[in-house]
Amino acid sequence: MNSENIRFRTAGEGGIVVDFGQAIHPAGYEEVCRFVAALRSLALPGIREIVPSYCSVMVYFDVLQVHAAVMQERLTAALHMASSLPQPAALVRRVLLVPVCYDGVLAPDLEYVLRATGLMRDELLSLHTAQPYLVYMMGFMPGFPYMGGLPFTVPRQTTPRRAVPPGSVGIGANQTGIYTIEGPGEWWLVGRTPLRIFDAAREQPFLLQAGDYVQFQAVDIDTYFSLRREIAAGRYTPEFMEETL
Amino acid sequence: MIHVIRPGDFTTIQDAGRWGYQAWGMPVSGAMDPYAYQAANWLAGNAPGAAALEFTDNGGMLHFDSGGFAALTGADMQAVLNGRPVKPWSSFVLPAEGTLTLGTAVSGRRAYLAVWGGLNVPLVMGSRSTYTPAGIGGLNGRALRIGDMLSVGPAAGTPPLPRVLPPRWRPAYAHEWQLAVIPGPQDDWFRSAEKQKFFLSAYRLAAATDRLHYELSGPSLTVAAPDMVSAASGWGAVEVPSGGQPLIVTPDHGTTRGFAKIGYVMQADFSKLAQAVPGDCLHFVCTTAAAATTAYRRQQEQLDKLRMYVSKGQS
Repeated sequence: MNSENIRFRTAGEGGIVVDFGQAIHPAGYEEVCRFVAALRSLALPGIREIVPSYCSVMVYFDVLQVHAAVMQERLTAALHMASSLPQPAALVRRVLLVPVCYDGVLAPDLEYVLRATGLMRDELLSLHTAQPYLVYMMGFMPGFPYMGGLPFTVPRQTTPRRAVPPGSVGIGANQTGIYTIEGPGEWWLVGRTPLRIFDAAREQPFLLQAGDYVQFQAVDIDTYFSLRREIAAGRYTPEFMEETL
Repeated sequence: MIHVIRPGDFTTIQDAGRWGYQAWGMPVSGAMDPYAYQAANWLAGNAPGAAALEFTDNGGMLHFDSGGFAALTGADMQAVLNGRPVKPWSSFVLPAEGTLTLGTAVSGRRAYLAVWGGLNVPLVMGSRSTYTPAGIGGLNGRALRIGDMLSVGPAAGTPPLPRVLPPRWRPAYAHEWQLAVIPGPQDDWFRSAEKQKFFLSAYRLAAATDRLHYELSGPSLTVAAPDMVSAASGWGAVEVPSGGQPLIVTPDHGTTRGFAKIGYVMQADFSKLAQAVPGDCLHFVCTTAAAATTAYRRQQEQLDKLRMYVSKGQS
């Protein structure tokens, strides 16, 4: 870890951003993961929450419990500890199989994405389902996975859609993600999954967490609806694969 | 039981917030005015973090079939209990079959009603706060509607004595607000002329719908590097999108956003933000994290004194 590129930034009196740069790439993300692992293992007093993102980590702390300068010292120690950690825990990666229907009304922007990229439908589907995508971070809405590394890029919509249905699989720039609740969205919708990526009523409300991988799998519309029924009836168990690297 | 005769414009159940899940994209939510919310709970004899009602703009009408004890703080909505006016920032006995009517806010924007025992709704991920975009928390994850019924949690012992808070604990609400802002995390993305513009100009609170958007109108700001990789954001963050009109992130807003932040409104001023009405004038004053911490500590000490004042004269 090259500590010269790491900066502490003030986010209000109760927040410190540990900034690893401004880029979305697996190496930078690895630094984020190591640091978060170090922070979690240290369980520093006064920390309210740790929120990792692509290339920075937000640390929220209770100003009545710990002084900002002390917190910064402890974060510096955590950074040193992170740099001495062995290879990240990603020796085993957890991959969630996400069935997606890329057809008709469930894929309202597929035509647009094909025109914008010059890809044929089969090409786009095989690229989107070719390999597991890393969930770099979660945010925007509960349980929304930000996945980077698409082999093509599509500029975001300039006018957001007002109501994107949950389960919609979107593409924005070279990222892909899954909408988890109904709300506005500016990514292009190329398909829909029957999986409930977020469900507050479930014992584990979030199917995914940062560091997981998602493998998309194309299914036809009949399979999509039969999976929806299975899920609604509580008869479907999400399929996770453990891959050793 | 509390019967909702009229729900008001946007009334939700809130507590101290759903902390611990931002890494999964779950916003904190919670009472937007933490001072008024906590004052209401102390006045009502509740433990900190008890669920209360947050009224926005207009309070509506509630009927209490059994008696109890309650406190009302925050915006003055000209409350009337069984035909008799209820003073803002006071606690009072609720008679059985009592009707509490709240009108439109005449000063401030959000009022809090804490009922002795707290509102009894299920905990969702550790909190009773309503987060309407995902339909979770509070009463069925939504704002109150006509005909809703709310149950009150069990309360131990006896309620505190009815009080009208002395002025030293009651903030004054105007239509011009001075908000202390701590620069960062991306203040270095703005040229010093842009930062000066932000701190010397007046901004109008243009739109502040529900608990989701705080848009400002005023001089546009230029970000030196407009493309920011999405990163964590939260209540009080002042962000500048490429259009140049700043916005303030609110408690129900997404946990990560892709805009540069020129600064954060300090925590002690969240109450002011919560009580500002669309059209109000906001002045941002530069402060430091150390000064903000002192202001926050002072606010918490005020609340501690308020709690002791309420418990005085109790057996």
